[in-house]
Amino acid sequence: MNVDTVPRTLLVAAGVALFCSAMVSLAVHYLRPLQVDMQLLDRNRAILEAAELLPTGEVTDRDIVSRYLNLDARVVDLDTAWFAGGFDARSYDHWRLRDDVEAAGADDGKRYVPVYLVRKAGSLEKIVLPVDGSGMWSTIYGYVALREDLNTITGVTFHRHGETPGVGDRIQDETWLATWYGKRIHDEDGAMRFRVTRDATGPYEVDLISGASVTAEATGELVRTWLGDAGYGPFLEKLDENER
Amino acid sequence: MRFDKRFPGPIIDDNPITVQILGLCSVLAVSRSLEPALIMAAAVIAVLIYSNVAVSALRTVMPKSIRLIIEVTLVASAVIVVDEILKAYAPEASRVLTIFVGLIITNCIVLGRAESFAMHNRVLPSLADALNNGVGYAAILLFIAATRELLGNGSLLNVKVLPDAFPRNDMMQYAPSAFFILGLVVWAIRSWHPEQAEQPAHSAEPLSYQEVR
Repeated sequence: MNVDTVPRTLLVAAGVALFCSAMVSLAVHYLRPLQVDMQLLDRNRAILEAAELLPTGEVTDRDIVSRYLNLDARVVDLDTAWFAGGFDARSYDHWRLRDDVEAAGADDGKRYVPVYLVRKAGSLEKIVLPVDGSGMWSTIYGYVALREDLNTITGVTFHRHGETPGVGDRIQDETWLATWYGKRIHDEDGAMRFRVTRDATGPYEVDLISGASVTAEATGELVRTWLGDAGYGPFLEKLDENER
Repeated sequence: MRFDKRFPGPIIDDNPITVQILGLCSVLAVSRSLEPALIMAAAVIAVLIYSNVAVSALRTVMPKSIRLIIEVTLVASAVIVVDEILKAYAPEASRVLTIFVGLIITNCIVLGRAESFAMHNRVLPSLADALNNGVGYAAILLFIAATRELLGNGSLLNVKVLPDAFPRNDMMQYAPSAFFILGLVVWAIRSWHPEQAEQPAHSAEPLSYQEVR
């Protein structure tokens, strides 16, 4: 039987294409809800990791959910530099709004940003702030936790990125992230001093990762941007005055 | 289980990695520790089986002019499904494996077996061939991953095996170590089976004027 005629070729091509696309669409359709849940769990885990609220050792999904629900989630309006009402802050995801322009509508995820407060006996203990920015190839997403002075880093995670596997992804290395602990953002005069840099010294600088310096420096740059005047700076000042 | 005389076949004698030197990219990249390597091995075996069986089943109706396109389409859709399943059920592993699951599409072992074996054989032998090559790939990948995790981190499958006093070799955490270990494995196998060694591509002796002409 000759299978090399034009109609036969078209028929087989159409058949294979139909079968393969049906397979892929079915898989995506049925697995998407599960993936969204997993991403949400992963995001909440990153928030809790930055806030150092996870138990050491094995962490169950239940640990993550229950501890996440204990956080005081709020949405901040970056234009007015204060909390904004009318949001379900626990499920609010400004990154998804930015990715999905159609669903976003008026709120494009740039003005309203969720923050997570950790309170102990009523007073503020920590605040977890989402940060993002360009890495070497991709957008890096993460969370920075500040102490009650709102100027000292007590935890940081970069949970989502597309940096080079084995090289840039070392920004997720726990040993390196631990070197951020206790670093300060602004000096006494209010000037932005925090940096990720080569041969870091002093309380404001984090040493970069040799071999992954571009990605490591980018994480420092995005934290500078977000914690500076164009980001959370004005909000943190106001919050500091209010909490005192 | 011996559904076909070809399986289990000669894993060492016809190993896709050490004999055919195929599929190295993923072996070098995902062998830092055993757990992702296990999942990668399972993913490759699943894709290999699917592609070999599908190509073999379609081999009589496949027009020659679009043969490769059909093979790649079948492989690519299988890889996407595997990737989606991992993202849903094993998000941690999926994050570690990053692009390397997607790169199974370009894994030479998969297309190589489809082209050289499944195109010319019935479904059952093709399935056996996929299993042979998949297990061969998995054996080398898991050996390298186990070595790297043991020497680099003192653990196997995240369970601590070596005492803390045993010095960790940080180099094992980086990709070049996979290259060294793979080189040593190939060398060891070829010393044991000298017939696997390739003929030198170039003669060491300089050509005379006469020969060149």
